[in-house]
Amino acid sequence: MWLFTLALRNLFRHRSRTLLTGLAIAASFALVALHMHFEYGSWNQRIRGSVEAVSGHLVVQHPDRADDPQVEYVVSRSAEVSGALQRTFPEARVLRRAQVGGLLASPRNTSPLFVSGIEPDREAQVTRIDDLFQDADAARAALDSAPEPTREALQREAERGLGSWLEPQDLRGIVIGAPVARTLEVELGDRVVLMAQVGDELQSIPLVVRGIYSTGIDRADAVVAYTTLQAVQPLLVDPKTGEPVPDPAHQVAVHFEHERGLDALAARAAQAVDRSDLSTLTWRQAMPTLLRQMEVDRSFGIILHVFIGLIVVVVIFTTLLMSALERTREIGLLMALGMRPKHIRAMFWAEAALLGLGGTVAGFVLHLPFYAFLAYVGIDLGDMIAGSSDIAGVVFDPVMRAEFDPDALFYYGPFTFLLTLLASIGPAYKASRLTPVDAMRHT
Amino acid sequence: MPIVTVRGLSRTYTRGEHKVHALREVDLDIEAGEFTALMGPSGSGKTTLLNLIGGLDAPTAGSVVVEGTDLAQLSAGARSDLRRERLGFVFQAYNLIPVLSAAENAEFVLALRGVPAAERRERAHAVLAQVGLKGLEDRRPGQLSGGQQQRVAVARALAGNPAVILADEPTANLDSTTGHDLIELMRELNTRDGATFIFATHDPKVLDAARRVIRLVDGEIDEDNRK
Repeated sequence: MWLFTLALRNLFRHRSRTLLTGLAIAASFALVALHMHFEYGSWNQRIRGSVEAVSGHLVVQHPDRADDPQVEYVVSRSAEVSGALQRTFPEARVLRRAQVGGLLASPRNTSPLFVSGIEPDREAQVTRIDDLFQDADAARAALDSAPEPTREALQREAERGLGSWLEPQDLRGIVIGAPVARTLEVELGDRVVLMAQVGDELQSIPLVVRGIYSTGIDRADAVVAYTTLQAVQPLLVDPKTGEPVPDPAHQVAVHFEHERGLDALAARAAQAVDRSDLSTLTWRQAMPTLLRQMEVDRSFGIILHVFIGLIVVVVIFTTLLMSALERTREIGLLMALGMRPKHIRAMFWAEAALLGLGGTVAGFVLHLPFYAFLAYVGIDLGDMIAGSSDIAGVVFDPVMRAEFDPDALFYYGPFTFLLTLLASIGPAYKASRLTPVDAMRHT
Repeated sequence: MPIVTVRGLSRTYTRGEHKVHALREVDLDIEAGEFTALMGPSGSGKTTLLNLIGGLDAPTAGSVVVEGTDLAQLSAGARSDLRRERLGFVFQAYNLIPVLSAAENAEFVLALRGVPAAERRERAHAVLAQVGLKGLEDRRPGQLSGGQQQRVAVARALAGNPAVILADEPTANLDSTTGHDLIELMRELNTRDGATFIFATHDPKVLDAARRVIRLVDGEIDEDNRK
């Protein structure tokens, strides 16, 4: 205890230097913690978006589709599969989807895109595209009576969804993004044709534009359109025979309120489906690319954290070394009075530990308001991330928000603390190797 | 049996290409309870002899035995232990720990020994009172005069009841009155408590007070007089 008292008093001997060193530790912790929270939040956002629009928490699909999303890798008798899953998980939202790549053509132009064949009512429970139409309707309704300052915002809101979301039994409806509508020069009610390669043949499906949406990310809106599953089912044929597949879809997705115990749930789902031609995957298994991207991001993050950590090590090393050199005579006195070399080292380590602990705690406090800003306001990355804001047609919110990553506290906090101890090893050993008589002669 | 036995003690320093013989084959016995002054001109080897007796420095040749323990046989850590447990030091330039109060300085050696806080605080207050510093226990060295700081150093040396107190020019930086008071104090402690004192000094007042005066010249004992 007296060692810590001595260490604390030594730190307070040069307050400004201690304050600056502590601030360096605090700033590095705060920077890394904020980076971790932001990375954690943005990845969670992408994962949630992908789970909503791509895989569900669980997905039943063709065994090869996770690695190679070919159009012919289908789930036949998909309604049976969906029904079995819904009976097994009555509280879950089960929905079927098919994704078809093709050309959407109007009399004036064509546009290459992904068309997602969905069950509109079920899809509306998990994705947010239909909300754009509801919000736009509400904005239009409020527009006439709205005061001037809010009219511009309402106008923008109203333009995000023209027309309506798809009806469940609509076999000819399609909802397209605003950029596609501009390219094709079409409006609500206009006819378009979806052309897709099926086996060796090019097949066409006539459709009518029911809705035009705008998420705010034009690059994503330019490549995704929605129609009903029944509308695209004729394009999902057996690749060998060219014969229709009974009630096909590309996947049957299951959405839960949470993702606890997914592996066990996947096992139950597989048992319920009981089909050897299908595999049941958790979202982690179904989206290996997403996970790989996440791991690469995390690795780069760790490298960045280590570099910042090294800067901390240099700062603390310099401070403690300076302190050791300044106190050479005093260290000689301490040894003359009977402090063993190990006590001298312990004193330096105690100083480093207090500095590290104080700096880390200060860094934690310092980062909270910035974290709050990033968590509640976020950063609008807009077009900057548009190229990577869709995965197989999934649109993400361009406003990235931080989420509290417990690792920042439980991994980087102790890491910062250990770094300060590491940085003190050299100065501590240098001080403890002095001989009392030489040290006391030092001026 | 002497409390300190020095045999054939030599210490040679190398300064560039030159060798400086600070001590040359010194033989000396100090009995328990002695009040001994080492005198001699600057560079005669007084401080070197004190440092070697205190285990702060290692001899080039010869041996120092303190209470039957040959310092040459001890590791650096064990020499630290011996200084902590059996020796007390009063240095010329006060040498207090600046971040500790007078009481904390006085109890420092006891803290190193692991004495419980309450016990060592009580002892520190007692020795500070003994050296006339009652009421100044909470002052830092910077808030004390030179004489008061040297008294704190004496209190620190006494707090652990050491077998031998080694004092290197303890009055050199004090005015004559303060120096005199300090000598009286140490003499009183020697008489009353039987503490063994070995001084290195030029101060005639210390020499007057000493019961044994050893004169060193060029690293050798020139005279050894008991009063």
